[in-house]
Amino acid sequence: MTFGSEPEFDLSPVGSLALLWPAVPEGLVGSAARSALEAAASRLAPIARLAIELRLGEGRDDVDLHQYVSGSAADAAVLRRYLTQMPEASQHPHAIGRFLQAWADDEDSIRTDLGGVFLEWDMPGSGTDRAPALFLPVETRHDRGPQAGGGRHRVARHAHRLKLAGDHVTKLLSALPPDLSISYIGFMLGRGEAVRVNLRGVRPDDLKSLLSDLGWPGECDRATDLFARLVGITGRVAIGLDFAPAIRPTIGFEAMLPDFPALEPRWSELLDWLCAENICTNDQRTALERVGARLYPEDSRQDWPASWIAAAVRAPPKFVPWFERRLSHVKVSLGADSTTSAKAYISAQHQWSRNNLAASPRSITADGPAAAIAAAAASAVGFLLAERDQDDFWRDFQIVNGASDEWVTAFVGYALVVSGADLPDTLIAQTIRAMLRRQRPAGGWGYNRISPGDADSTAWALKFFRAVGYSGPDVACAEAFLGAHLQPGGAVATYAPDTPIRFDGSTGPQDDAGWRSGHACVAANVAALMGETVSDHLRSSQNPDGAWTAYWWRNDNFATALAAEAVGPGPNLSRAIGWATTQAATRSSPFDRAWLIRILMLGQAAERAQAHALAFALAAEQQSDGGWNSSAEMLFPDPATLSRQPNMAVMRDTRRLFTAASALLALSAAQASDIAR
Amino acid sequence: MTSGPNSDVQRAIDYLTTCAPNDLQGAKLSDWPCYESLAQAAHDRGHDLSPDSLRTAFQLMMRARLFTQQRNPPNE
Repeated sequence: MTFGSEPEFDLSPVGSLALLWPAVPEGLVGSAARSALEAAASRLAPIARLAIELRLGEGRDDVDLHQYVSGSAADAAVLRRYLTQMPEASQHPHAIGRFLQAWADDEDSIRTDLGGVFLEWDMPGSGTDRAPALFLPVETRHDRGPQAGGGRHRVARHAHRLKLAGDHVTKLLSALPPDLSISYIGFMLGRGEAVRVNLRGVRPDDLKSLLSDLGWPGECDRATDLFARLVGITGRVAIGLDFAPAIRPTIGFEAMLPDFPALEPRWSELLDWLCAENICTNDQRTALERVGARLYPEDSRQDWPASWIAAAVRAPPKFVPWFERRLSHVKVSLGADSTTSAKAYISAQHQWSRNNLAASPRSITADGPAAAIAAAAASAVGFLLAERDQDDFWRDFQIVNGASDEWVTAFVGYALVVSGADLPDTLIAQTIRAMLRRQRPAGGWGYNRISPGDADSTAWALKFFRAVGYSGPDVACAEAFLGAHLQPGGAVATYAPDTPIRFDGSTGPQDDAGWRSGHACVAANVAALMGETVSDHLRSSQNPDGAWTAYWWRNDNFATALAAEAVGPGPNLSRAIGWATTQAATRSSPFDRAWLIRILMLGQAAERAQAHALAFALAAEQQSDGGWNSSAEMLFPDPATLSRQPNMAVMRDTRRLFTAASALLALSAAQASDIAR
Repeated sequence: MTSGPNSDVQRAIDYLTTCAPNDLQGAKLSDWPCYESLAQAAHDRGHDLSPDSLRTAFQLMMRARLFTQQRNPPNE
């Protein structure tokens, strides 16, 4: 979340509830709980980023309230005004008042260091009125080595100075193994010394030994089974462990999924499972699936909170607010008495801007272009490793069928292996196992587990297996599956004639001739696996300008690079290099430029020098986390459409994995070239 | 054209773009979608505007901002 340039106006948190309630039935949050939440929200700092935490299952109607305060100057200004106008807030007997004042003033750089804080109130209005819990970020997914240690040290220093907890927190943070990624630490200010540590990125195979090493006193087998089940459904599950100060027998698993349930089929699987376990009712499940929406004040059917209108009209014209309510994540807990329970978190947040602010590029400190390219490649490897989900898949390209995992995993795995980077010992074996778990009986792989097998995904899987030297009957079966996509004349279809393709909402057969026709981008990918028939087809189907027209991609760089590598030396390759030289003179995205680099690397010294210069520029655009701006633009054509059209829906790699893997392939090629030496 | 629904909306747009940014600073307004609250705040400051005209004016104002942004996209 980026809030760096927001206007500093008060926005009542009650407005967030006002726009949330129409989507929340009485059965999910009763009227008494609503009144209590509204009363509590009206006492908060005027920052309209709330979430509610619902206990699921029969007879569980307690609701907690959360507020997110960012590290932006705008939130700090709002907080300062609030503390001035509400002196009792800063003089609160608990450490919370001291903390909020320090946050507003960026005392000892706490706000700069940490960037954001979640405040959580248990059941406001229930009469307990405890101080809130404070959840502070510790490490990012991409922090490694000294960076990670630095995050722990900073949090421990601020916690100690503000007396959020005793010395045990410093000891705890330094005692947790450095290879664990700590996402948040929560200080339960109303519960004495209690803290919660949230861990990310743990694989199910590793949980048992982790809990054993930590001396966790609960039922390890049950926790491991529960965790493995959740990771199997969602891929990303954080682990919450409580310390007070000794480790407690409770454990929580927070399962996160992107997008709304209507756009991400795994939500449905998760909610089905909760209902089957009797920790969520069917009515709650239905309500949770329907809560998500984005609301826009310019919509004639959408009224806006009056106090928010006052802020909107005062804001500079570049700000056009909007609001999002959504099911954020689900937490499944195993209690000290070994019972399981579930909670759902629904966020309700005002946003100021429609524009995604591009992250800032990292600064290049390496000594010269060759060193900069090598450093960027190493950083890209780190980025991709950190983005792998806990079920050993990489996921990207969120479409109506969910995110792709099989196709994306095969491609990212291939890029990592051929980059020649030092990879963790177990990564390749884990990726092979993950892919083999998903192989269809007919031998292929698909976009994801609910999609039919296709030639492109299967080709990337086979390329990955070749790159790692894996062979076996499953590979032969995959090769046979791929062969079924070959058409007369050497064209290659994405979907074979006998592959069933199911379209949601269709009641009968649908014209899918487009998806079953020959596609140059798929032929280009498959050629290295299927031999001269396909290469000959590519040679005869090249455009006069030297490119190959992709069916599944907005631009032709990716397809042309794969085809150029497949056709080998000759006039086709020369024309492709000529096309790339022309393209290199125009502005292009990191993804497209990565594939231009691959094409130019196939040329003479002058083209390779040009590729090297482009690779240096690509390295300079890398972001501090090791990725690049999302720029791989996949198309989602109507199944009946036979050729690429200008108005096709574009899907980007919002998790930036396809762009980063492509950049890694380009940087690796540049590193290996004689120009680099 | 000095009366009728369109002129009411035009007056509301004029109010939201010129007077409201100062007028509404510190005004006690409802935290709920409630254009009566906005109309009352405007009335208290000498502007007689209907809730419906304020609703339409605010929606048009936001659409205009979006339209301007789309014509002048921020630099990538």
